[in-house]
Amino acid sequence: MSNPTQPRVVIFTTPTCAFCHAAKAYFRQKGIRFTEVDVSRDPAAARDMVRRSGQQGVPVIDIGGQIVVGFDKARINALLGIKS
Amino acid sequence: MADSLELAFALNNAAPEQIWDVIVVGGGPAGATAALYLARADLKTLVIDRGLTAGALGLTGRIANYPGVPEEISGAELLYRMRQQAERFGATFLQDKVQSVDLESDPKLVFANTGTYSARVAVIATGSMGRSQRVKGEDELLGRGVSYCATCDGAFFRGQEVAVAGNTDEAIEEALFLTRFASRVHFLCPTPQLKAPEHLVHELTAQPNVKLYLGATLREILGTDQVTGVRVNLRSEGEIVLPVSGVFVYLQGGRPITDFLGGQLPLSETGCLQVDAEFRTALPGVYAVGDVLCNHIKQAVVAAAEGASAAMSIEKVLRRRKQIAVDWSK
Ligand SMILES: Cc1cc2nc3c(=O)[nH]c(=O)nc-3n(C[C@H](O)[C@H](O)[C@H](O)COP(=O)(O)OP(=O)(O)OC[C@H]3O[C@@H](n4cnc5c(N)ncnc54)[C@H](O)[C@@H]3O)c2cc1C
Repeated sequence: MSNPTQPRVVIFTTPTCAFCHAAKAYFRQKGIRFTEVDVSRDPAAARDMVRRSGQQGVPVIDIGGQIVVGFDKARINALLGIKS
Repeated sequence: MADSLELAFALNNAAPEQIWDVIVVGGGPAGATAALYLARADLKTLVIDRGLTAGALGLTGRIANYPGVPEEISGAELLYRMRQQAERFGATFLQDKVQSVDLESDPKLVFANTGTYSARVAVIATGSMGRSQRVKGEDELLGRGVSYCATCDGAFFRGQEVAVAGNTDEAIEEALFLTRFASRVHFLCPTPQLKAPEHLVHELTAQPNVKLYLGATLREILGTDQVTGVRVNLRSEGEIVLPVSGVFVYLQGGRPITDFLGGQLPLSETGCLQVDAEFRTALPGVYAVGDVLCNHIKQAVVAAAEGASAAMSIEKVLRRRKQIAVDWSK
C-alpha cells in the first residue's frame, strides 16, 4: 500500500547499474513512489547530483532532501519508516 | 589469442523478465560445465560472466594437462570451447558483472548491471581471482572518483581525464566505454602484456584518446574529497603521477569472489564457501562449485567435474527425482 504522507523520493540512476535496479525493485516491492533521473542522458542532472551528494557514482537517492549514497537499505528503511 | 573468440557473448538474448531454472554466476570451467550439463538436461540456464579472460582459466597462457586436449592451447581458447559447447545445448551466456543477489527470495534474484535476473536455483562459480588488497586512497575515495563500473558511472567524467587499472577483456571493454565520455583514458596494465583477445587489444590501442601503460602498478589514489590523481609505478620509468579525476579498478588477486553475496552465505575465515557432497550451500537452492570453495584443488578439470556433479544434483531436485540421473549419451 502506498502511503500518502511518504516523502518525495528521487533516485539518480544510469541504465547499466545493478544497485539502481536493486533499489528500484525494493521500492516497488515496498510500494514506495519514486521519480527516476537517468544521469547518463541528462548531463545537467549529473552535475546537480554531484553537487548535492559529492558522489560521482550511482545510485544516489534523495529522500525528502536527505541524501542516501548507494543502495543502503538500512538508511532507506529508517528514512521511509519501513519495518524490515 | 584467436580472433574467433570474438564470437563469445555476441548475443544477449537474456530477457530480464523471464524466470530461469538456473542462473550460474561465473562462466569459468566450473560454471560453464555446470551450464553444459544443465542445458543438456533441458533446464533453462543463464550464465552471467564478467569476461572471458577475467577468471583463472581465461587468463592462463598455456594449458597442457586438461584431459583430451593434447595440443598447445590457451586457457581462454579452452574456456571458449567449453562455453560454445554449453551454448550448443541451449545455455545462454550474458557478459555482465553480478553485483548483488537476493538468495532468500523466491525466485532468487541476481542483480547485474544490465538488469535483474531471476531463477529457481543459483550456482556460485566465481572462482578465486578476487583482490585481497586495496590501494591507498581507494576506500576513502570510493564514489568520489573511484569506481568499479564504467558503464554505471562513466557519465560523470565527461571531458575529464580518467585512469583504468587492469589487464583483462573486462577492463578493456570498460575503458572503451569510457572513451565516449572522457577526454583521455590512461590504461594502467599491471602486466607486461594485456591478457585479452587480439581484436580488443587493437581496438583499445587504436583509440586516439587512450594511452596504454604496460607494467604499470597503481600505487595510490590521490585526493581528499575527490580524486585528483593517481601515483603509478612504471617498470620502465619509475614513479609518475597522472592528473585524473576518475579511477576505474579491475585488478585481480587470489581471494574467493564472494563480495556480491553481501553476507547471505556463511564464509570460512579465509573467505571461501563451504558445501556438502552435492555442492549445496547453507541456503536451499544455492550451490557453489570451483575455486570459490574451501580447500579446492585448483585445477580446471576438478572445477569442471564439480560443475557437472552440481548440475546433476540440481536436476534431481528440480525434477523431484529420488536419485541422480546420470547424463549418458542419448
Ligand atoms: C596463472 C594460472 C595458471 C593455471 N594453470 C593451470 C593449469 O595449467 N592446469 C589446470 O588445470 N589449472 C590451472 N590453473 C587453475 C585453474 O585455472 C582454476 O582451478 C580454474 O580455472 C577454476 O575454475 P573456476 O570456474 O572455479 O574459476 P575461474 O576460472 O576463475 O572462473 C571464474 C569466472 O567467474 C567470473 N566472475 C567472477 N566474479 C564475477 C561476478 N561478480 N559476476 C560475473 N562473473 C564473475 C569470471 O569472469 C570468471 O570467468 C591455473 C590458474 C592460474 C591463476
